[in-house]
Amino acid sequence: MIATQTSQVLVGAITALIYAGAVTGLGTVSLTAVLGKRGTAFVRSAVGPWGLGWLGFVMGQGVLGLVWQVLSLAGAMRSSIVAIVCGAAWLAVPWAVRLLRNGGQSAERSTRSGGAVLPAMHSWYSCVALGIGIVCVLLGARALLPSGEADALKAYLVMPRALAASGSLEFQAFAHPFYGLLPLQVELHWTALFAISNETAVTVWDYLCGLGFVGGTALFAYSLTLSRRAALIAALIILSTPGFYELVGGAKVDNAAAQYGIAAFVCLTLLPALGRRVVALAGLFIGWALASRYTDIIVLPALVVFAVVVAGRGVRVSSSLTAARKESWVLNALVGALAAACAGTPTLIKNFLLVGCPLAPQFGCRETFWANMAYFTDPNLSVADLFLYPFVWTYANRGDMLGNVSPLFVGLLPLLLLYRRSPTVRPALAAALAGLVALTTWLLVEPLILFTRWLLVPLALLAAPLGAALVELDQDRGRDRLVRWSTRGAIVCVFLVLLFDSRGAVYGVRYLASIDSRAARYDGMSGYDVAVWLNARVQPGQRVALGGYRGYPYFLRPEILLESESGDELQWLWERGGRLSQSSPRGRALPRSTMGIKAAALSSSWTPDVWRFYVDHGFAYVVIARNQLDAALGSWPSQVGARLGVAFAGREDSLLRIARGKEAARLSPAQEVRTATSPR
Amino acid sequence: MRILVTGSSPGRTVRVRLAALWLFAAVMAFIVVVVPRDVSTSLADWVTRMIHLLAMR
Repeated sequence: MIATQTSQVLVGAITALIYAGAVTGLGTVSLTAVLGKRGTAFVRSAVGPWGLGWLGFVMGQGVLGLVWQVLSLAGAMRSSIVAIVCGAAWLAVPWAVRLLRNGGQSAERSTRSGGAVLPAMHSWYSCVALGIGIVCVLLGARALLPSGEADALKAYLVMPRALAASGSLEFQAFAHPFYGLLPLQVELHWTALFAISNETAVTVWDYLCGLGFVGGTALFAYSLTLSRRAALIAALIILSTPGFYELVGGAKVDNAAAQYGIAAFVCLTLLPALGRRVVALAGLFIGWALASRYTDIIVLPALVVFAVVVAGRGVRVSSSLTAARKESWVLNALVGALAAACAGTPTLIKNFLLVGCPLAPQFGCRETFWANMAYFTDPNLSVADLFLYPFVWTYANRGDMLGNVSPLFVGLLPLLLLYRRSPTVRPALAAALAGLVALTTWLLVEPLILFTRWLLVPLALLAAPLGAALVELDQDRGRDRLVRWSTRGAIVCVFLVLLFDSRGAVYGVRYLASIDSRAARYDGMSGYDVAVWLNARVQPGQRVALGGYRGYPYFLRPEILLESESGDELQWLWERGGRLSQSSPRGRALPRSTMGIKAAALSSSWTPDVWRFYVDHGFAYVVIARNQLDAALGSWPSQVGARLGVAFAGREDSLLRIARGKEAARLSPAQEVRTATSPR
Repeated sequence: MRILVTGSSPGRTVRVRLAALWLFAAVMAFIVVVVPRDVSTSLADWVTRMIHLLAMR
C-alpha cells in the first residue's frame, strides 16, 4: 500500500517529466518552423541532437507560455483544456524524436567534428562528468520537497495556484506584492502544472529548468570552443554557484528565465552560418527572457555586442559569406527586434488589459494601493564593496543576496588571462566580453544591489571562456605535478562542497517515503497556524479579510484567497489606512518585510467605519496582527448587525469571527468580545 | 594534433603554476569562509533530523 503523500509526489514528478516531453516536442516543431528543415538539420549537426533537443525544450517553453497566457486571459485555463493542449503537444514528440535521431547529414556533422575533444572513458573528465551527474541526481531528490523559499511562498507560487483554481487571469488583489502584474512567462507553466497535477510537479519542473540552464551553459561553451571538456567545466562552474543551486526546485523564476537568455546567445553562435533565421530565434528568446524577468534587460546590450563580434569574425564560415551578411546587419537587427517584440509584448498587453498600465507595478497607476505597496529592494552593498566586487560576490554575505558565486570564477581568472590567445579560449572571449557588458549594464542601473539570481546569464557567459582556460591549462601543463594537483585538487574540493550542500536530498527521500510530512516542513513558519485553521473551517462562499495577514499566502487554500478582499475593497481600505506614499515613496518608514508593509498599510486605522465596511461586504473572518488586537476590538461599532469574537489566536496573527443572525446567537460568551447593542 | 601557443619559458611556467595555486587557494578560501556560514545555520537542524532518521530505523 503506497502512502497518499508518496503517490502524490510520484504523480507530480511523473507529470513534470511528461510535461517536459510535451514542451520539447512542441518546441522542436516550432524550431523547425522558424529555421526550416535544412536549418534545423544544420543546427543538429552543429550542436548535436542533445543541443537541438535543448533548444527545442526552451523554444517549447516560450511557445507554450504564450499559449497559456492567451488561454488564461480568456478565462480558459482549466485542467481539461491544459490536458488537451499537452496531449496535442505530445503528438509532436515522435516526430521530434525522429528528427533528433536522424535529422543530421553526415557531411554536415563533419563540419564540427574537427575540434571536439571526446572524453575517453576513465579519464579525469569522465570523473568530472560523473560528479556532475551525482550532484544533479541529489538536487533532483531535493526538488521533491515543497518549496521553502520565502519569495515563492509569498508570491511566486501563490499566483499560479490561484490562477489554476480560477482558470482566469485577473488582477490578483491578494497576491501582494506583485498582484499578477509582473512578467509571468515562467509562472504560467507552473499554473498549467497546478491545473493538472500538484506542487511536486511544479518543483520538479523548476528543477528540470535548472538543469536546462546548466545544459544551456555547457552547450554555449561547446558551440564556441568545440571542446566538450570546456563545456563540462563551464557546466560545473554554474552548478557550483550557490546562488543557482540553492534555488533549484525552490520555485523561483530566475533559473528558468535564465534559460531563455543563454538560448539567445547559443543561437547567435550560429549566426554566420544561418543568418537571419537564427537572429529571429535569438530575438524570440530574448523577448521571452524579458517576459520572464524585467531585470533581464541587462542581457540585451550584451547580446548586441556578442552579435556584432560574432558576425564581424564570421566564425567558422568563409569570409565572402560574412561580407555578404554584413550588408544586411540593419535588416538583421530589425528582424531580431521584431521577434523580441512578438515574444515580449504579450506581457505588456496583459498588464494593460488587467490594470491599464503596461509596465505596472513599476510604472504608472500611481494612485492605486498596489502601486504604492509594490516591494522595492534596498541596496545591499556599500560603496567600498564595489571596489572588491568579485570577492564580495564570492565570499561575503550581503542581505537578500541569496547565495554567492562559484569560487571557480575568481580562481580561474588568472588562467583566462594567461591562456587568452590559446585556440580553445580565444573563440570564447566574445562571451567574456558579452558577460562583462551585461554586468557593467547592471552596475550602471543598480550599482549597490547585488542579487546573484538576477545575474545568472552574465555568469553563464563568463563560464564559457573560464572553462576553456582550465582545459587549456590541463592540456598544456597536465604533466606538471604542481599544476595537476592544484587544479584537480580544487575541482575535487568543489565537488565536496557540492555534495555537502546537496544534503537536503535526505529530506527529499524522507518526504517521498512519507516519513516527513508537509505540515512538519511548514509548521512554525509565518502564518501557517492561522492558515491551517482557516483551511479546515472556512466554508465555500465565506469571505476572509486577509489585509492584515502577515503570513505566507501560499499556505491558504486558493479559494480563500480568491474570496478575500477585492482590488476595490483594498483600495478603499488603503485610502483610510496608512498611505505609504505620504510617509515614504519606498516605504522605508514602515516595516521592511514584504507582508509587513501590506499589513501596516491596510490595517493601520481601525475605525468603526472599517468594521462596518467588513460587515457590509459579507466578511466572516478578519485576520489581524496580535499587537493590533486591542485597537481593533476597541473600535467595534455599536450600530452594526453582527457580533464579534476571537476565533483563533495564532503566534503572530489572530483571527476574528464576524457572526450574524443565528451564528451570532451561537457565539459563546467566552469567544465574544463585542456585541451590537441594536441591530440595524 | 594540438598546437600550443603558450610557450614554455621559465617565467611563464612560474606564472602558470601561480595561477593554478591561486585557483586552489580560491576554492579553499570558499570552504573556510562560506561553507561554515552555511553549516552554522543548517547543520544543527540536519544532525537533529539524521538522529531522528536513525531512530526511525
